[in-house]
Amino acid sequence: MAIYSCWIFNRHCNCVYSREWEPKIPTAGSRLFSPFTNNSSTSTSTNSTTTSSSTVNQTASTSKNELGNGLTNVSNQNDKAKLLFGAIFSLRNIASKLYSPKNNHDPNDESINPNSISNYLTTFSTNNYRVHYFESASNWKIALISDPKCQDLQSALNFIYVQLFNDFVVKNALSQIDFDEGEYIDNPAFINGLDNYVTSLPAFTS
Amino acid sequence: MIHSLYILNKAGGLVYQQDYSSTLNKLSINDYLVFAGTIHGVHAIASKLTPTQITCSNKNANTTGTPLLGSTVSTPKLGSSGANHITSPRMESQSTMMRDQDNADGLWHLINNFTNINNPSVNNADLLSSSSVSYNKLSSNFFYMKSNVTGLNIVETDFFNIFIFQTLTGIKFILITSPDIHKKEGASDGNNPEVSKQEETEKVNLSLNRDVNSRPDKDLSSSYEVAEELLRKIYILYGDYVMKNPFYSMDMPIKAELFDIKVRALIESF
Repeated sequence: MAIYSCWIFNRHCNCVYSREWEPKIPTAGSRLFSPFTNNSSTSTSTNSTTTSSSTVNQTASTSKNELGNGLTNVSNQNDKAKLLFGAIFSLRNIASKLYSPKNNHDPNDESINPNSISNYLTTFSTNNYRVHYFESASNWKIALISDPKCQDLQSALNFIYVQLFNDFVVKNALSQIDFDEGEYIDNPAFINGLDNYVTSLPAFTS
Repeated sequence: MIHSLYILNKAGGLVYQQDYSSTLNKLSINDYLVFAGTIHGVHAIASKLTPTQITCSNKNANTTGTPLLGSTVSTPKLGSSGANHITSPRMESQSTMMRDQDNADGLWHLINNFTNINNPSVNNADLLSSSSVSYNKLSSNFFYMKSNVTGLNIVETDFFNIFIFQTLTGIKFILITSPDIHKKEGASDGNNPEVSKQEETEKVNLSLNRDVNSRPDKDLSSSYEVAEELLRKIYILYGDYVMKNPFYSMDMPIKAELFDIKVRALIESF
């Protein structure tokens, strides 16, 4: 199992954050991939998939390891981000169109406000991967792409939104409120926090 | 429980739509067509989204692995549609490789069955039920894997799941079920209104809080298998009552009363 990438979209459909983690390649020493080990000199270089399986880079650059391995905010503008957003957008529209909970529960039940609920997309999957999706009330969309056998990551997404995104982006006075096209989340506290959290998830390594 | 069934032709046009419960909203014909087109499109897009990490590791695995039986069971790529063309030949051959061993037995069994039984009155359902063991083994590994390798399989939402089954010829069978596929409508509605109300409230609370820690996730793979099994049976009915109907023209909407009846009986017996 593995978690492959994380994507965040704002309400203007722009990808404001993308993070693709390096795959866990079974190396000669079969070390687990963990970009945040302190002994960076002994960590296997997984920066390049072509060389990592054979070489152990003794001079694994510490600057690379500060942000972890893989790509951060590289794919924000490319087709992949747009296709992912398109797929999510289509499926969430289907979800809300086909089912409206306010038609389906007892109108006399006053414990819930029928206007505040609708049907949310939670995951979609193929044989190769599974996309876990979360949308906040302010239309921030967070997607985690994982292995298809991965367990449900809704609580992880919730954590990312509440603990990381809220604290380091929304409450951050220096961060943009609304991201324009081409702008992205570049504050290290959020990036490192997300990396630390996701790589610590059992689903990431197991 | 099953909410509805959609059948899409290989171009993504809706040829059959039937609701089996009143849970889902009734949409206009146009909206159903849009739904079909959207699912068809997202199905194709989904294969493009396959993480590069997977393709990388597949290449690595492939270069180290020896081509075992890669070509012994040459899988006929009968007019597979959109999504399958995108599949890289590497991945195709690898998945073939991994499953060849299992398939070879089952495939031979099935071929023998087809060649031995020359009685034209035997229909697919009888044939396949007579060899149900091998068919099940075969279908789970072979037919299914080859027909929807990289495309969209499952969509989960808070209140329903969508399962997509694509045949080798590119026809898509789409089943919309409740999150728990086994839960019957009668059990929650008629018998015990107290319980049902409580359940409903719980469900709504769940969606309100968006705290989905307690989602019964391990049920997904099992309900996926159940749905797949059901879709396969519907495919058999499709073969018997739609394709063998001399008045049916390909890729056109299905108006076959017998098919309606049989599918409804199957879904109600489920």
